[in-house]
Amino acid sequence: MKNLVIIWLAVSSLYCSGQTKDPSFEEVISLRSVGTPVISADGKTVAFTVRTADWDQNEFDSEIWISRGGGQAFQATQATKGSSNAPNFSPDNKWLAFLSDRGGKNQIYVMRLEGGEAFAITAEKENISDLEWHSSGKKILFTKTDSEDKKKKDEEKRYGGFATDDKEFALTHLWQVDFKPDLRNPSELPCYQSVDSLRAKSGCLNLAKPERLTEGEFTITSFKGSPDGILVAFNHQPNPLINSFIKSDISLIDINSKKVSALVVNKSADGLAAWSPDSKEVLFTSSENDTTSNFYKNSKLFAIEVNGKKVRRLGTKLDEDFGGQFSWQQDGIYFTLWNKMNRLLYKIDPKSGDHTVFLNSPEQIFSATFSKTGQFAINAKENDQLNEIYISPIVSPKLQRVTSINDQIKSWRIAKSEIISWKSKDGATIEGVLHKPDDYDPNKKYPLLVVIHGGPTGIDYPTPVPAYVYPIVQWLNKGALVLRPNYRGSAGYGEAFRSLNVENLGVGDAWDVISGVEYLDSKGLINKNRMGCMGWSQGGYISAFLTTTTDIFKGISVGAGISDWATYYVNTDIHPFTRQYLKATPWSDPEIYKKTSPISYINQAKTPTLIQHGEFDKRVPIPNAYELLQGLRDHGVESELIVYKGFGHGITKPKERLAANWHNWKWFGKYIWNEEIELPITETIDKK
Amino acid sequence: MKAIIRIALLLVFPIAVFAQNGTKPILTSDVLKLTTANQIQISNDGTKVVMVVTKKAVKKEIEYYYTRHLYMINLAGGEPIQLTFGDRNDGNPVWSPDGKRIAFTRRDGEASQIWILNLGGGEAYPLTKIKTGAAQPVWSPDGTKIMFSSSIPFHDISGTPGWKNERPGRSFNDEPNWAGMKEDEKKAVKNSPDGSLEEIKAWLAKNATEKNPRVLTRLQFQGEQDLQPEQRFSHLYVVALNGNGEATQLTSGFQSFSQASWSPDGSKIICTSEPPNVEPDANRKSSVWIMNTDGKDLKEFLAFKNYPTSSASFSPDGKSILFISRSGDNFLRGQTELGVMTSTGANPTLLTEEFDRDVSSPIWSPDGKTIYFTASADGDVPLYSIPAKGGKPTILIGNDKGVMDYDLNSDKIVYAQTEIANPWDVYQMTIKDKKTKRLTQLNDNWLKEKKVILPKEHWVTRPDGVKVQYWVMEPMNRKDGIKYPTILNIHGGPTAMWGPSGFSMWHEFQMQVGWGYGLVFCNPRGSGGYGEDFKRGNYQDWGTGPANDILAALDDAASKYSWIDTSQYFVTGGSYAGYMVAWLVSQDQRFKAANCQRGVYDLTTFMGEGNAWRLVPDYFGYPWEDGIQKLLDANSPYSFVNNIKTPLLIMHSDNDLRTGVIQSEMLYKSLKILERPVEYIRYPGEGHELSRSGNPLRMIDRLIRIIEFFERYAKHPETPPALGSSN
Repeated sequence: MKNLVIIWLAVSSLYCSGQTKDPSFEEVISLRSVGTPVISADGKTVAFTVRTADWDQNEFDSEIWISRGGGQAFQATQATKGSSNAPNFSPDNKWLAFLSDRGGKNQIYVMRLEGGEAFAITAEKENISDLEWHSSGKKILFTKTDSEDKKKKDEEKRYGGFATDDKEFALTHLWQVDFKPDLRNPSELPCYQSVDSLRAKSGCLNLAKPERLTEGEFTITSFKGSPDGILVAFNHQPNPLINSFIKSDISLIDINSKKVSALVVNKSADGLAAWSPDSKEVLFTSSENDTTSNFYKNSKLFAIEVNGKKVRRLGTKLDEDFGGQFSWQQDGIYFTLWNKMNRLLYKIDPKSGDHTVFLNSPEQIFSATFSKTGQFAINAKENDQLNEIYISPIVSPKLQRVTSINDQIKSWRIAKSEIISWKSKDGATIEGVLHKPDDYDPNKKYPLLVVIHGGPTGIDYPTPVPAYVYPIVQWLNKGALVLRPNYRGSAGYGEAFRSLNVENLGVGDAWDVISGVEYLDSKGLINKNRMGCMGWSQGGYISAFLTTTTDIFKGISVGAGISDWATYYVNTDIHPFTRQYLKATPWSDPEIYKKTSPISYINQAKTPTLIQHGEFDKRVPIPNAYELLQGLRDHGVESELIVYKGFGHGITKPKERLAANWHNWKWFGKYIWNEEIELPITETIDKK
Repeated sequence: MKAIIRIALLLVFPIAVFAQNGTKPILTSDVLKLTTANQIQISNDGTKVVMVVTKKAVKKEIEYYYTRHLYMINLAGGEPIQLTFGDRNDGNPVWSPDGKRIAFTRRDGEASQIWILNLGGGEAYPLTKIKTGAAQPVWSPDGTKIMFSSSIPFHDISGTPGWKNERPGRSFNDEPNWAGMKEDEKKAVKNSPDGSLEEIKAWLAKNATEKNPRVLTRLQFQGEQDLQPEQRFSHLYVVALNGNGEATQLTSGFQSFSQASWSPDGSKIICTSEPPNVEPDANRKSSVWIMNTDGKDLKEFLAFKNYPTSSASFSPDGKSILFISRSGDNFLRGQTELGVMTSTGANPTLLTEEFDRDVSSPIWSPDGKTIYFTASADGDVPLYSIPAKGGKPTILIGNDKGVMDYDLNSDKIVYAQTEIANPWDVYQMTIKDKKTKRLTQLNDNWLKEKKVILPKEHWVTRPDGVKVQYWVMEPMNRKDGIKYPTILNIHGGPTAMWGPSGFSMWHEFQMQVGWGYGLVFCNPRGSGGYGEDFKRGNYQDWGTGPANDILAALDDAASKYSWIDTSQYFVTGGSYAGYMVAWLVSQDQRFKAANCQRGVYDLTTFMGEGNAWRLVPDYFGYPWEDGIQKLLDANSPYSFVNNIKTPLLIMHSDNDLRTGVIQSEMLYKSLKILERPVEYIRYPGEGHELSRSGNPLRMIDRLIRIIEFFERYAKHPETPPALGSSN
């Protein structure tokens, strides 16, 4: 947990004088950020998580904040260790339920909105993963993962640890628990066993006992109760293995009879989105029967009648992948979608299925939540700002900001963003964000650093503090330009653009990056002798591809990148990815694997390359890092591999993220600025 | 006079009827269920009450502990709402002036801090982050700041005190202040057991800093459970509600400041302090000090010679100040008196000089015309009011009841009350019509099936005219014509007072009658609650005088109650009463068995053994003074150990530094050598307060261990109700 946050609100006001400073890496990593909002039925309260860095515990911690009656939001939960997540209002607007691990496992906590601390209403032995208040307000629905098979534990005692690949997992199922606000904590009034009258007896005064609603050989990934409280729709798939999402379907359960019935059973992924307000229809997204291109093609939006199962498609004219938070109100279905570098709040008329843009400002709206009394709240940002939470009436929207996240960067020298576009080698139009330093001088030619996003279906958009493991703001302030291209395959530009890299991975991506560099050079902005390139995941792959296929960069950083698609294919946990993008296995078409793999061009590699990788990365396994490293070493190309101990595909802890920033700062300092930089050992900021 | 008041009250108040008319005995382990609430605070608008509810809890089946949580009562109606949760102990809640938040103390880590709970929703968060911990939060009148106190160790205070170094042959700052140094500074200090004297001193100082060994140079070196080699000083701080949590220190130096409060206009702070430049262990004086809210212009404001003065607070209109003065600066002499003066310090007047009781917990009425207070009196702890201009105190709540805590506003008093029928609940009284209403049901859930035995009150007049009040409780399910073993319970202090309004023995008494014993307890000379002369009645006479009062009460009871089996007397008591039990069995052979707890048995040894050693000079004199050693010996049970033949259970806690274990070891060892029936119990991890606030499991052990010892010698006429019972 982090202490109250009035601290930065107050501190920031000290800097109003217009003096700005280059933020430290720690300050950037420590930036607080807001999560998805939920609004109470009466529209009076909005809750959302705020994420902060806890340097003492070395973790990112989320706590729930609330805003009441449109007032400035304040921190509502104060978990001593760990986080508080999944805020959910009771239908009577009096309680906030959420999940928190305060010793042991994730449990459901409830808190009075009128004041008072939270208390647990469950004491489960397994982590609770999601919750939703039942529309009656008298119980809470939740999902939790079944406990580990006892047989497995006994087996391990005798034989030690082993596991069969893709065969061992625990399933998640749906439960419900009664909510009794005045139930006492059993530890405070124990009753005793008669043999030893001081030994507390279990079961005589207990928390309400949760009741299991679903059984069977499937795992539940999400659920939503019908507004009339009779049914629960749930998304399920055969098992929790990562590739099983393609087989996800939607079923219904009657919470009284516990009778389960299938609702949507397309061959490919079906995603539960929302209930209609009259409880008669369920909104869902689906890839229908497409199991061979659903990684990059649009999912479609449908509504299905609960009785009769009649299906109709909605929003047919929208050319983008559906996803995120949906809200079906009396007057329409609300959701957000990318539209180039903007993300808009759309509304679909449930009758006609046609869409309109409901709100297009601020530029990026990430999620929206609607009350029953005419208010909504969004998590959104303007191009030059960090995300904030806003509330507004639905009729004639007028946004009122309830957070002050941007106060954190008031005194900083931050990135200026420009959206630029250029033609790639094959004529495709590519957009990118060009960041310029605060004191940009048009008469100067600047070193250029290209930062490439992952995905490939990710997207870059204007933002004042682009970061992750790359100290972009500090590089800008050191006197560089930074280009973040939305190369082919990125989200936001429609299905055709997202498919442009199929059977053309790397090759086309490299065109897009190099053409972007050439475009900037043609405008006279950059010093071509001082250019670097970097990226994580798919961005790491493209960087690796550029290491072995061009010598225009003086230094490159490959983060969790792919160096050989065949190596990747056999080691990764998402085998269908390469089959979909390359339309082949390494055994059916070795040539396409060769054509798209950086390692195929290792003989011509010249660029000094830093490789960063998480030790236990399952998405892009670490053999990719060693393969590139050894190839570069064998060719005498300067290279270095840094392994982040214990990490998977992301550098998810503050200290190692700090280290990864320094590693990039050092690498590009050497190859772009010709500076030798050492990692400082003493702390640079006072962590309070 | 008192009787008249009682009758009047009976006419006014309907007798509250409680649920506990069951048939089951109150058992030993029921002590775990006793729930109390105190630190009551009414919000400024009078609509809400916050209080601390204390319960005992168990986790992992057998791990017992206390929880202290904030609860809120909406006075418009509804059940109390629990505001704070968790295994932490929360305390000292105070409403912000606008009633929108509560400041309280909570320890969640190294030290207790001030936390803030917003009543607009959300969990509490720590406001302060002071290394030495924060206590006693007080809101500024405008609600923007909170004043608190923190206890600062000697080594953290710069400069030198205004008294000479207690360490013979040494002076202040003549060795490195290891505890106050940073790591790199420590490395630069030369220190070694060999080498120059300076290096040797530095090395010795380093070891002393790590309390290995503890270097004792102060007089009051004994804490409650630990030695305390280092002086600490209480200082006042102010922290802004909307700031970064950094507090501003108002007072500093080698002088303690406490009990601080703001003037209603927020311009001044008054507090209690002590004479500057006097070594605190040698000091028994206190006075009222005043300063500006930034700590400037600090000065002594009200001091009386030989009257330690404290607890000052402004009247709501800011025109007057009330204070408490003690008419004497030792245990024995003097009483606490209520005083008022103007806000400029003019006309200090004592209001209660005629009122022959010790006053405590004064609170102004909102209109400033009345001051409310409590006092131990004749076995009760009534709530009184007295006109601020002077006059006679009036009892508002009394009549075998004890007001354990209270707060008030213009039209009501909210108070915690103990009585035999109901050990603890919170009530409200409307000031205008004196109507009372119970606001909580803290113990109803477990008490409703229990039978509670009420005591009967009596007085016995001693040959010297002293009247001694005592009470008798009959064994549960007593039948006529049968005689029952009877336990004489004795209180400590010696200035404590027992009565039907007492809480500390509520459960133990009910549990003992459930075990089939009759009970007699009294307030012998030397007890509090009967005026100054009575309290001084045991001066230089701890043994014979009070012992004869106690035995007279017992004999009088036996003459009144034929069910008392005079051949089956048992006796128990703790602290001074541990002493008294040993005294009785060294002088009298009537008891079948006896139990002395945490007692003192050799008063000369007591001089060195406990932090309560000042009882010896205050009541007797110093052993080296003329004739005093003889007096101490004559009053020490140990002098008569050879006469003790009664089976004796001696109890003491390992860490009890208030009375110390050596005297109980002397008593035990001597009786062993004398081959007398004796058993010695030592509780680990506990101090002097085991029976009242010790670990709940050891609390239970103590309760039933005493009974089990008595059971070896008792012959019950029938099976006691508690025997074989379980909940």
